[in-house]
Amino acid sequence: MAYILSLLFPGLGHLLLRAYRRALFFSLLMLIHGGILALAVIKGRLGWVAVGKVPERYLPGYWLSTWILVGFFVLIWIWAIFDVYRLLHRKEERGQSYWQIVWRRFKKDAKGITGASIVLVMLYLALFSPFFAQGDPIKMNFTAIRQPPSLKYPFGTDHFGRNILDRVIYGARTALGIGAVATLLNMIFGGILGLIGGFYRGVADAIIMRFLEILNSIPFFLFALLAVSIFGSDPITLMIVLGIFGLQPARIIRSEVLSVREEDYITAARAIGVSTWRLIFRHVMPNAIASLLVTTTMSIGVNIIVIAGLSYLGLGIKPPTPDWGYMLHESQEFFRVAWWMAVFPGFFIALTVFGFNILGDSLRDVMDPRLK
Amino acid sequence: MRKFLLFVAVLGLAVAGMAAEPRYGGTLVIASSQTFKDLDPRVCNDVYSMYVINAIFDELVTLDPKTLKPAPYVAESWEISEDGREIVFYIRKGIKFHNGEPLTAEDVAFTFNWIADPKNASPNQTEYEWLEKVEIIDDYTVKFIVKEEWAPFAPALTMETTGIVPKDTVLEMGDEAFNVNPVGSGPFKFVEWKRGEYIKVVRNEDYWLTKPYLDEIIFRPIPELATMMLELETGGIDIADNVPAQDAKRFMEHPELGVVIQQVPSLSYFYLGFNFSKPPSNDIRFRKAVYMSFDATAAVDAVFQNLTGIRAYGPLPPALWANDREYLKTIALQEDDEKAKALFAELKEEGVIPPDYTAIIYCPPDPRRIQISTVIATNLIENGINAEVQPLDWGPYLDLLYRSEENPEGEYDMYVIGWSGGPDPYNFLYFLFHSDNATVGTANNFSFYKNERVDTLIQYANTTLDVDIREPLYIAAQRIIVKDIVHIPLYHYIETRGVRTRVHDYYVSPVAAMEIVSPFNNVWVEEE
Amino acid sequence: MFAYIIRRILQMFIVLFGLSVLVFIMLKLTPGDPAVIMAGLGATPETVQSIREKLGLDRPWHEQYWRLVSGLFNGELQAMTYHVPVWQIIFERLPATVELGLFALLIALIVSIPAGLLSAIFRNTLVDYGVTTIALMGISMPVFWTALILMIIFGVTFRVLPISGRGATIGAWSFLTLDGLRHLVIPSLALSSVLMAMNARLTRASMLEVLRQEYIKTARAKGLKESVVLLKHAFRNAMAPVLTNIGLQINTLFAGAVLTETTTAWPGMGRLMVEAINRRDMAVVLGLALFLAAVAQVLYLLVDLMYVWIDPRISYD
Repeated sequence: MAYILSLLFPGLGHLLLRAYRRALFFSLLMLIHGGILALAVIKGRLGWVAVGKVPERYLPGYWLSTWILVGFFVLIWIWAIFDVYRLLHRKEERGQSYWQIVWRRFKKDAKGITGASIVLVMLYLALFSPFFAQGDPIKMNFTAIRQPPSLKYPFGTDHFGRNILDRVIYGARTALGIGAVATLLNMIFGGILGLIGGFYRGVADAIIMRFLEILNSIPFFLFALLAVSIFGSDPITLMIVLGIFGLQPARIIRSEVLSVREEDYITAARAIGVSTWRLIFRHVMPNAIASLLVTTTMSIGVNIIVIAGLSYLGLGIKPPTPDWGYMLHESQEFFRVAWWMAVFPGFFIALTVFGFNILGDSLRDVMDPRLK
Repeated sequence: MRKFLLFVAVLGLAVAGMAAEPRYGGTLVIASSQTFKDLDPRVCNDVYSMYVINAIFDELVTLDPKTLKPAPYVAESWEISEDGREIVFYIRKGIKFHNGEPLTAEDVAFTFNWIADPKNASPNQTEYEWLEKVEIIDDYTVKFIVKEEWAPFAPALTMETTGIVPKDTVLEMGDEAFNVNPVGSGPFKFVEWKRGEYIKVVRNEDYWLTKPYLDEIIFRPIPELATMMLELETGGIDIADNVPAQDAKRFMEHPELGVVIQQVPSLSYFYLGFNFSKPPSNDIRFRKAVYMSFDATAAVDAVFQNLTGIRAYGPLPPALWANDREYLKTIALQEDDEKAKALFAELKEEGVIPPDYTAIIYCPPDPRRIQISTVIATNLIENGINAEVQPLDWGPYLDLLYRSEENPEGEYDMYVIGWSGGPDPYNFLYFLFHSDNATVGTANNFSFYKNERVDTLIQYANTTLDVDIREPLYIAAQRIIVKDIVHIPLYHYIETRGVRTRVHDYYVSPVAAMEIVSPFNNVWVEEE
Repeated sequence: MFAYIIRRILQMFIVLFGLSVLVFIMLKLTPGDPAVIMAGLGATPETVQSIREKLGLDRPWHEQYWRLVSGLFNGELQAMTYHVPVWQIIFERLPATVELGLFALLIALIVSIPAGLLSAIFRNTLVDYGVTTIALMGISMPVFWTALILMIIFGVTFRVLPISGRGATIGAWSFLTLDGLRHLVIPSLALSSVLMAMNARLTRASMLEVLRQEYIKTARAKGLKESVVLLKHAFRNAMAPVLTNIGLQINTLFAGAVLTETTTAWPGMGRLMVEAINRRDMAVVLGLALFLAAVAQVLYLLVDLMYVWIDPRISYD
């Protein structure tokens, strides 16, 4: 019965089962996403609504956000139904697995909640930029140059009359996008290197550690400047440069692997004859994931700041694509006459990075097995 | 607008002129937007190092700011032969270098012969292409021998002079050492160069022209514009060599901040160039469509605030004769998005524009050119052409524009760049549009525009000194060039300097030099 | 132990060699001919060619490489665009960056160590959150933004500090003069924000670790006053990892210095690096890269040695 209700509307099923808090949770999720949907429809930016009414070149962006929204709705529905299933079939004892403990602690940690909220807000800004923005972020208006913040332009306009609010919202895409991909590269390569080094030790380990040391000795900006000079300042180059330089995760993974390696159950498994790869994937990695998570969040923060720095030096994203770091670069010469051009992008960079950092901090606290 | 500029310039001079009595003493701090590279006038070719060189060295001839004609300096007078092949300079007696050595014909001959000699690889060698050699007639007389093809231009050439270096000292010290420890005959003596921080010069007590009022000058390189403006506002520096439009406006509207804005139109031309060697730029419909995609005048006004730059309608700046501005304005294309979109669609259908085409607009790392490029790119995007701006450092930028043997068509479609030339239309038209200069390598016709009529007109105008004959020829050539839309003319720059009120008798020279002590001024400062 | 040090030094040379080859190749691949840049717009091909010959840029690559590297080692290599030997340029700018870095580090430590301690002692209270927030804000704000804001507040609105540049020096050091100290404030304050978070968190984590140890419980059981427990026993032991970590932060410090020096017109090595790359001065770029890498390597070695000194259980043999 509850299933049918949940199919109708996530949260209803939970009401039936007396799981009031969860019902509230799912209703809230629906409310938020419904709000976004309403916003999209009112502004005429939802895919189906927009066709034929807006210039062609806006459509791909609108469709992307539309489908992502649809996808999210589907996910919420599925999650609600799955949750109902779990409630109906749950065992009596409260979960004692590592992850469940972590989750419980995380829910109570103010730092974690704050960090996660900030990150989610930025993520949503990036995913649904067309629905939140007032208009086109690259549209120039020479009659409204450097307008201070007002009702019409909440964040003011820049030296071309472009709406800063819109540019900040769309800027979330490049910031998070490049930051995320670069961090992903970090994790993948760093993870692999760390695993190999920690697990096999010996020569492989020595080479990998030397390599990491070499990387560490290289002045980052020197390489970034040279790389950008050679390959041009497009997002791909930036992601690769950052991907290579952020290989610190390798060290962390390696130490995790080293400590896990000595555990009895690993020795036992090897004695039985479990293959090495299996060991790595099924036993070592899950434990390393904790450190990975923490490092990931910190890395994204670092990468976003670094990209901003490169854009500030003029080596980042090419105009006219909105990008927070580049907005700071542009705003420098107008600092005295149009402070809003620098303050808002700078604030968003700080806030986003802060969100990731505090989230990582909280994860580190929460996942520390010794703090039982 | 012009009246306003004139008013400001006059006001600046007036303010500078009145007030208290000149006094001896004080330090002047001048900020430069780039770091200094060379202090040897023979090799220096950047405007910024020239600020310092002007203070330390004397030139043969200087520029009278009011008449824009050459005025005597180290050379008391000069004579040009009938056939224009010989220019004799009579050198003033009694000039001494900072180390006590007298300035004689030997030093003059040495300086110019050194530059003209290709073996010395001086970046200024091109400027002296016309010089065959300098002969010493006697201790205070030199004769410049002009190469035959340049003879008609002899009078104009006297304006291009360089600081004189002391031959014996240079030979003794060696070129590299001299470059960082220069010895000249100018109003100020070199004291020290703290690289990246400042260069200090002090008064030359025995200066032959007049005793400079200032005790010393500090030249500070401040690459960050925002920082320079803050320093100017708080009095950390006295003169800023480059003031962006919004700060110029701010200082003018708030005289209590204590900064006077001085301006002079420069002989410069900034444009968007097209690459005629390959599609789509070689199709005039594409060029028209790009031109009509954006409102060039509005863009220029937005970036320069009607203050530090004006819209260009052709390559020749308004300060130069033969500029034909009135007529060219009438044939300039206006913004017309409908037509532009239609043209782009047409070109796409015919395949002239490939389906996944992205227009890349290259430009140097100059904020203003990046801004204009951004405007153009944005408007192209709005009309259905994907576009982006790629700022490049000068090194890679020149590499790109000079093309290469392997790829003589060039890897660029559109580029934004500027050109500064001497006060003769030939300097603009020949180097930018003549087919002689459409070659792989260091030639400047980056568009590779080749038009026989234009070539003939320019060459013919080159054969005589008679302005009445040359002017209509240049005008005709320019009209063809503008109609062909070789470039989209963007703007002419107006040199804008910020000067604190305590500084007197400073003026901006039309060739953007830093004139502190000259036959026309002797800068002095009020007490702190 | 001695053998270990020798091994490390040998490894250092290998690293530096690899680095030099890498940087050289990257420089050669970088578009932008230094000869063309020096000749400037409008130069003839002959001029460019003569400059190229003067700098030896038309020789085969391995010859150029050898020329650069050997020139660096015997100290005679001339910078291509600065007219003085490369080492002279580097050492001219070295004191400025060292000053900046040291003062930034000092400020960061003065702020972050007590912050971390408080954070650990009053764990999960408002103090903890507040301190963490502020420290993280420091690292979240781009350093050039911080510098600009400081310049406006202290340089323009309240005209108490000079806006840019370095102050008067005694010898090579400006912190010895009052004017020099005044010029140091804004840049080092801005740069310190980059290091605060890391150090604060590290102090906190380290302190928490120490507080859990048995000997702390013993000390408390002995009846010692809490403050004595904290200061005498916990603090000293907690400091060890923090201090050793300082050496590892040099890369972050230098990266931040590049941005800070550019914004505040501070004449240090960071700005030199950006300038040299823009000018395509291969000699200076190579010299800088090797110098910085060597310094980093030496620091890592010292840090590793410090670990041994602090914790006698560790041995490298």
